[in-house]
Amino acid sequence: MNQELDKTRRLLLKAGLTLSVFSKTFTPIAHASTNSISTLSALLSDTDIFSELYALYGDRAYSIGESDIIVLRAPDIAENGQVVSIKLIGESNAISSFALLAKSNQRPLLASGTLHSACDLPLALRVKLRRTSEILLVADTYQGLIAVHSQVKVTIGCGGF
Amino acid sequence: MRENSLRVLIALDSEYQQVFKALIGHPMDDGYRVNAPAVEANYIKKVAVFVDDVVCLTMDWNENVSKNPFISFRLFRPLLDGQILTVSWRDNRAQEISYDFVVTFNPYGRFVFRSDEHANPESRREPEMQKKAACKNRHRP
Repeated sequence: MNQELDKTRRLLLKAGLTLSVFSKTFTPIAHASTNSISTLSALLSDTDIFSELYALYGDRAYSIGESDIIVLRAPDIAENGQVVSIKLIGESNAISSFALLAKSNQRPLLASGTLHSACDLPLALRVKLRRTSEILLVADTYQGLIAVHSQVKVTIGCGGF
Repeated sequence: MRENSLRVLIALDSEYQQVFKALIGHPMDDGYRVNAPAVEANYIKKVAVFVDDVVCLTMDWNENVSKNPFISFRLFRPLLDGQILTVSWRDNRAQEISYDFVVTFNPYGRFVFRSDEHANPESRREPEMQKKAACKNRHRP
């Protein structure tokens, strides 16, 4: 009787432990993804950015969020806002054109380009950022328009503003 | 870098694919400077790369691209010796510059183009400087 109780106790303990581990590992990721999607939709509905994108791509629908086709690789912290290196990586020959926008700059559309048949990802550029801001990349892929973003903290000396 | 000069490097990356890298000498002044001396906006608006007169990459930039802009991309099909590359750009002052060059790879699959050397070969390093550099490098393997 005592042994059985002990077994059940152990089982319960194990279950609790696994549950707690799962909750610890999975909640932050879920939180991050919802957060990024909300910031992305906010970015896309920003009037300046919207007008720039509308001029480029018209009234097409965006699929929002992380994707394997295109990844925007930017530094988390840029010590010098004058030179921020940005890299687009992803599937080979997947994108035909792209637009790179930064919210904090006077004119948000930093660069837009068309990749023809001889050109392929990864593609790298260096841009200026006025201050800490979200960088938005919209790429025209074979799955339609995909929007991805990344936050870059611009620090001059110390601290980020 | 001198204004409107160009440096190009084509080399293999970690996956043995050809990567095109270019540095354009340009001030990319955004014209936002408030303190004296105020500088007029002077930035590249359009860039294009052609392979054998077939367009490869076109980009529209605004003034928020860094000084001495850097472009890097992977080539989908490997370039061969004798193919002609063209890199051209246009300012907001409607100044158009274009460089054509023939690609010749070294045995390691690298190709380097420097517009400075081709434009004025007299402005290379002085012989004394070269001697010093040679002395410096003598002990290196």
